[in-house]
Amino acid sequence: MAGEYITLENPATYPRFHSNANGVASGKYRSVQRISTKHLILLILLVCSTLIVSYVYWDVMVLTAGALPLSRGTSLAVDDMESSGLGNETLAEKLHREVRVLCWVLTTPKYHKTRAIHILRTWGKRCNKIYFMTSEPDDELPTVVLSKPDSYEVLWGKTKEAFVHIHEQMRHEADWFIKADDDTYLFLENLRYMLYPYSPEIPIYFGFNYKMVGTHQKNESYMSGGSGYVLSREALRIFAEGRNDSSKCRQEDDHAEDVEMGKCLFNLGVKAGDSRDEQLRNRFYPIAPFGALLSGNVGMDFWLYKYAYYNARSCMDCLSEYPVAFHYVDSKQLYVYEYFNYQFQLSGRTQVAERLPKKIREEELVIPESDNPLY
Amino acid sequence: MPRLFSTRRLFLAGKNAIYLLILGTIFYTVTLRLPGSLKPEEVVDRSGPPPPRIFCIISTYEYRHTQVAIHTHRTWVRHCDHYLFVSDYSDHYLEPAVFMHMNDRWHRMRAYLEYVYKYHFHQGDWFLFCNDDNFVVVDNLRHMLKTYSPNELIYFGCKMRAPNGLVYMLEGSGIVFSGAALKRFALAALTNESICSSEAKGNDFTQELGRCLTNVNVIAGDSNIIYYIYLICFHTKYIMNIYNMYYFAYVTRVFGVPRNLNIENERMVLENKTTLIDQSSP
Repeated sequence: MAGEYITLENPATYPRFHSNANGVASGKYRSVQRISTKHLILLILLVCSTLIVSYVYWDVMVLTAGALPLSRGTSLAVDDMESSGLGNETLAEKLHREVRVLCWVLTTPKYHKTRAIHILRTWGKRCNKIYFMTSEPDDELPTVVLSKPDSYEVLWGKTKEAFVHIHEQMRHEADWFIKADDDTYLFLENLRYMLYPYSPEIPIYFGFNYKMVGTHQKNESYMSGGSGYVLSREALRIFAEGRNDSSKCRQEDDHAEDVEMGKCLFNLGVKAGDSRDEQLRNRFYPIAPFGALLSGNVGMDFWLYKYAYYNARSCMDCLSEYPVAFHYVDSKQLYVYEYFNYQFQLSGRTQVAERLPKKIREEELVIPESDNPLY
Repeated sequence: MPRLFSTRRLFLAGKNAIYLLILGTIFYTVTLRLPGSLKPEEVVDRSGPPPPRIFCIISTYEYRHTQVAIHTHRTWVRHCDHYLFVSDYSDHYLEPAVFMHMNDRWHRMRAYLEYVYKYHFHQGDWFLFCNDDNFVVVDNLRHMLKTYSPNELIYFGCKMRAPNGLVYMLEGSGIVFSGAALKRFALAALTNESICSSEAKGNDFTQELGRCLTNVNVIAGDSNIIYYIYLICFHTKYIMNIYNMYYFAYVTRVFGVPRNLNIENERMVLENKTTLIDQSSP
């Protein structure tokens, strides 16, 4: 039908017609093509969906800030991705700023130049602050000179003094306080990744869980001193204020410092956290990695299997992808670990998108029971 | 003309069809380019020729089977395309090719290489010869060999130069032969006494290997490139450390530290493909 066109002789007679200033009909009304409602709906849908999709894209980019590496085939520079996200900061830098860790290392002048200096040169420089607790100062190390002598008989006393000193002088410098030996290797970034979900106001401490031996409650645990244990700021405060209570903490200076620390913290109400990863693999380990990876080397009477609180087993997949600490690492091995983990490149390695975990509130914190029936 | 843009029908008519088409195209392109859909797993390098196949020959002895060789077998050897243990006695797990009654290391090496050429030549493009206490990062070796052809007469290792000008590879750090080099060695060098001596050489056997290969025009490849971060071969004194190295090389990650693939560390020019780490204590 020829009735599709409506020609206008006097456009001003039609309602809702807006002419321009001189009253001449604008070009679009020569042939009526008003946008019908259906077209309008479709157009709006199109625009909205484009907006939503662009927002989602931007949001995903922000969430994976600094941690989404690219496939090797693309041409975007890797350093471009490192600084993506808000504030041009990598994920590791963000964690360094938000989860502040103060490291202190038990050492003695005999080992200043043979062990302690290598710690400072390898993982020590990654702590927010590091102090060496010893009995003499040193020109190259940031030391804190304690009054207790360096001997095994007063190790518990030295540990107490070190923590109290940190609480009095340095508690504002960090959120978490980790104790290590001079033959421990720590992965500071993975430690921060582990601690990120927890608030430093929760009274909790982490390490490699051992079962308490003797007449103790079933769920009592202490952390291995050799592989290091880390206290929250609240736990440090509770310890410093409650250590003089002789019913809760040993007042003499002898006995093993990790056992006494565990007993004291348990009595004072500090929780012994679970440091394993999502697949329940250990992140702290009281010996070198091969001890966890190799099972046939030791018999079933190996001391570790008797006292481990969780996961008393060795296998090739038994250690976490993001380990935190190992013990009995001598000074040459420190550099080997450092090289392999921070500089060595594996060609064709699978890359994963790393994301920060969710925060855990104290009320929803659940610490699993021991799963080691061997006793 | 007006009929084409009839607005009486809702879908699939004229303008609606065009709008729907545009909408669909935009959705398609945008959703497929969302980063969430990029799988963060294995990236397959689809361009270029297939990666070179590496055949690993691991030399061991009976007294070391249970102490040393078994750990090598459990860790990195699986990453070779094919592997063969060669020893002087049999073993359940290693299943080596056994060569008895040969005490000299040069005689053994000649026998090993000849055997591999005869029976396993089709299983690899490059042939790695190493000891049972080496830790070899086979993936990095493949990466390095990508730029060479197995038809070149070339071999790699920790290159040394003797005072008399002889170029050879350090014993104990692994030697990689190209297929053509192995073939040339087996066919031309081993059969000819003047090119390649068959006397006992003791611990200098790699020097003799160097001499033989030079005589048949096999080049000693230069791997003195900046490969500090892509190091390939390690020697351990305490064998348990091989598990540590394997764990750190293949499994561990450091959170938030993306290891930049393009680092060129100029101060490490002194490093070549292999390194000896003194790990005398556990």
